[in-house]
Amino acid sequence: MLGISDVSWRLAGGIVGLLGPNGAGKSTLIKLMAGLLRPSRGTLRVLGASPFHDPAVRRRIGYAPEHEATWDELTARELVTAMARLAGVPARDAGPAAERALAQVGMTAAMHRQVRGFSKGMRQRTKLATAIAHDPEFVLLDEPLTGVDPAARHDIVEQIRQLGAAGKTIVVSSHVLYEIEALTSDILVIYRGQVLAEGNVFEIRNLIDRHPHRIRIECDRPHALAAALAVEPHIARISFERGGVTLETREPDRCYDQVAAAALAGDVTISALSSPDNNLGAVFEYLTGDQGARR
Amino acid sequence: MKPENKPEMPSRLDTLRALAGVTWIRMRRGKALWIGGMISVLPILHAVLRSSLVRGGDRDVPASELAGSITPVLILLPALFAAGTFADELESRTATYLWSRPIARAAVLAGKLCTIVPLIAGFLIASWAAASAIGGHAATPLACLALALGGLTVSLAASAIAILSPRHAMALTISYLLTDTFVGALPFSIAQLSITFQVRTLAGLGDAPAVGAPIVALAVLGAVWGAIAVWRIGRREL
Repeated sequence: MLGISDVSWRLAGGIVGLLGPNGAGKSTLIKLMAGLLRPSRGTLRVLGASPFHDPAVRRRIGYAPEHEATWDELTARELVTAMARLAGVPARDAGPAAERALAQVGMTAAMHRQVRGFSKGMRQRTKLATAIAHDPEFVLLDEPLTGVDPAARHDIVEQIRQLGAAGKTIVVSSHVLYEIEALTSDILVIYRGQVLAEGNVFEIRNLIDRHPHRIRIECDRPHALAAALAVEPHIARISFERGGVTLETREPDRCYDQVAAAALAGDVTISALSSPDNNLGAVFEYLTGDQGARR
Repeated sequence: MKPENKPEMPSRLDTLRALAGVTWIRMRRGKALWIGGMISVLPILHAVLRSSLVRGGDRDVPASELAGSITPVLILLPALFAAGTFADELESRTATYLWSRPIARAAVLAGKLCTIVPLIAGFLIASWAAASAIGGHAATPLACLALALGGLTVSLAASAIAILSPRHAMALTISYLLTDTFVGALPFSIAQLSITFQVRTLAGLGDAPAVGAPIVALAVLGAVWGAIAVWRIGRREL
C-alpha cells in the first residue's frame, strides 16, 4: 500500500497545517514523523534523527493520534500521567505534569473521571494533554478538531495557538480548510500521497478559488433565473435539473450576490441553495487535472 | 508546560513499572479479571462435586483427574489475559500511544507480561491448591512451579499469536493450546513439543516425572514464542 509517495518537505517551525482530503496521506505522514512507521524508501529526519529507529528523538515529540480509542478504563489523570512517565518524566513529577497539561486543555474538573464516559471534545482535549504533558519540542496533532462542538473547537484552537506562541513546532492535520485557516497561515497541501502546494494559506486559497464553483439553486422558475444570470461573464456553464438550475462560476462571491438580486427582480422563489463542490476532494482533483475522477 | 524536571530517557524499570501499573488498572476495572476468576473456580467445583458424589470410603480425587480439570484453566486464562490484552491494544490502535513514546517495543511486551504472568500463575496455583486440598492432596511445590512456568510459557505463546493475528487472537490461541494438549497426550516423542506435556511432567503427573528436562523444555518453548513476539512487535505497523 502506498501511503506517501513523493514528499520532500523541510519544516521550519511554528504551527504548520497539513491539509488534504480524507485518504490523502496526512495520517501516514504524521505517523512517519512520530516514529510509528518506517519509510520504505527515502529518508525522514525529525530533529536530526530517524524517529522510528531513535527513541531519544521520540522523547522530544508529542503525538495525538486521529482515532478516539484510548485506555478507557483509566481516569484522564491516570492516562496522562502514564503517558508522561513513558515519555521520560520521572514518576514523582509525572502526576503534577499531567495535572498541568490537563489544566492547560481545560480538563481539570474532569480529570478524575474515567475516559470511557467522555464526549468527543473531552477525548480530544485529553489526547492533546497526553501529547504535551512531557513538554515536547515538536507536537504532531492528527485531526484534533474532528467531531468536536464549536465551543470545544474554539478552545482547542486557542490552546494550539498558545503552544505555538510558546515556541513549539506544531503540525496539525485536517481535511477542512477553515480549521487550518483558524490556526495558521503556513500550510502544506497533500493529496494522494504527494505534496500539492506548500506555503501561505492565502496563496493556496487563490489556487482553490480558480476552481469553477458549482452552485445549485432549487426554485420555482429556474429558466427565468438562468436567463437573468446567463449574460454575466463569470458564468461558465448553466444546466437545468428537475426543480432547479446549476450554475458554474469562477467568482462564487459575486455570483451569490447576483443570484439574490436576480431572484428579487424576477420574483423567483428560492427554496434551497447549495454548493456540490464544497469539499477539498473536488477542488484537489481539479487542481491536479484529475478530471476523470470528478463526477 | 514546564515539568519540574525536563524528561530524560525513561529507565527500563520505570517503563516496566508504568506499563505493568496501567495493565493492572485496566484489568482490575475491566471484565477480564472477573471472568478469569470464574474460570479458575472450575477445578475447585470439579473437586467438590467429585468428592461429594462418592458415598463413604475414599473421597480422594486422583491427582491425574485434577490435572485434567486444571488444563482448561491453563488454556483459557492466557487466551483471555495475554492474547486479549495484546489483541485489544493492536485492534483498537491504542498501541500508537505506546509506540510514539521513547521506549522499545519489546518493553511494551515485557511490561504488560509483568502483570499478566503473575496473575495467570496466581490463579492457576490458587485453583490447583484449593482443588487439591478438596481432593485430599497437598499441592506440591513442584506442581506450583510447573503451573507458574507453564503460565509464563503459555502467556508468551498467546502474546505472540495475538501480535501475529490480533483479529483472531483468542480463537487462534485456544486452538493452538487445544492442539498442544492433544499433541502432549500422544505416545510419541513429538509430545516433547507440548507445553501442557512438560507442565504435567514437571508437576510429577506424567508417566516419567522429571525436573531438569521439563524446565529446559519450557524455557526453550517460551524463548521461541518470546522471540517471535519481539520480532513481530518490532515490525508491526498500525
